[in-house]
Amino acid sequence: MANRMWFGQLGGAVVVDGEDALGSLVYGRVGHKHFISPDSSLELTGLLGYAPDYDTDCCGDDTALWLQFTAEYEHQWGHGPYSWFVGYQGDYVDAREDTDETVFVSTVKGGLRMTFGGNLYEETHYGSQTFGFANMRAPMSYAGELN
Amino acid sequence: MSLQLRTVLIAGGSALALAMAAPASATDLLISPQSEAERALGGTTGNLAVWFQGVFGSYDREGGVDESDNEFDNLAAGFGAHSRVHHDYGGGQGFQLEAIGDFHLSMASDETTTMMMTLVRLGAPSVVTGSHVTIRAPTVFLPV
Repeated sequence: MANRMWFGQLGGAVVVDGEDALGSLVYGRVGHKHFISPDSSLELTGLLGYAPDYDTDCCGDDTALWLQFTAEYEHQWGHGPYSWFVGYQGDYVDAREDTDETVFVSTVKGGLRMTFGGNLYEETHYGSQTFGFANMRAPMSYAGELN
Repeated sequence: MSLQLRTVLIAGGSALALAMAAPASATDLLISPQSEAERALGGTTGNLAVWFQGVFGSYDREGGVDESDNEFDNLAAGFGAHSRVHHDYGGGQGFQLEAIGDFHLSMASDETTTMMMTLVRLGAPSVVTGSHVTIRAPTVFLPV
């Protein structure tokens, strides 16, 4: 069993509805998933983003740097469809120029997942869990909310 | 208390995105030790996840026009649901649909805010470029 997997992702976002927050961003993301067993995995990801259009609410548009780190452990019960997971996500947003505004946010998450069509290992390698989606809540929301 | 709905569109510039009249795509590059047998399996897989989350953080503003709002803590809680379905036609070619719903209650010192975020992600057929590299591109996100 190949118990290690790396992935990379390039992307961006544009807010099409909403105000006083992120206008747009681009990001690069890398991740590593290690399978302790076919039913247990540990995933680590890192992200670097740049927002050229960042509305900081107080001070108009600025540019921002966004760093994100995530760690998640998932375990599937037996060979059945259910698993539990716990994770941490740290976000750091730094408005670079005029505003000098920084936000650090930690998110602790726990939940349940039901899968079909394969176990954790199979789904990750050629199924629906191949890619996670970068959580953009911190850069999208906190610039305009925490003041 | 205010209620906000935020929608996002992933920006990019792929042929598929242009064909769909939406400036939206993201390119994923997967480096995975998949075997030929694994990639040839095909079929449909999926998952549904629910979670609870706690959020804490700090905010600091040193400049701008409002320097007085320096450093306070923020606490929040929320829950969400995430579903993802992937269909592989075989040989590593597939299509993926992903939907995310996220509810967030934020409690700052002077304001309580609730927020919802919804996303739908449509993944285009992937391209297999070698024994260990799979490129899935483009991926389109639609606001809900």
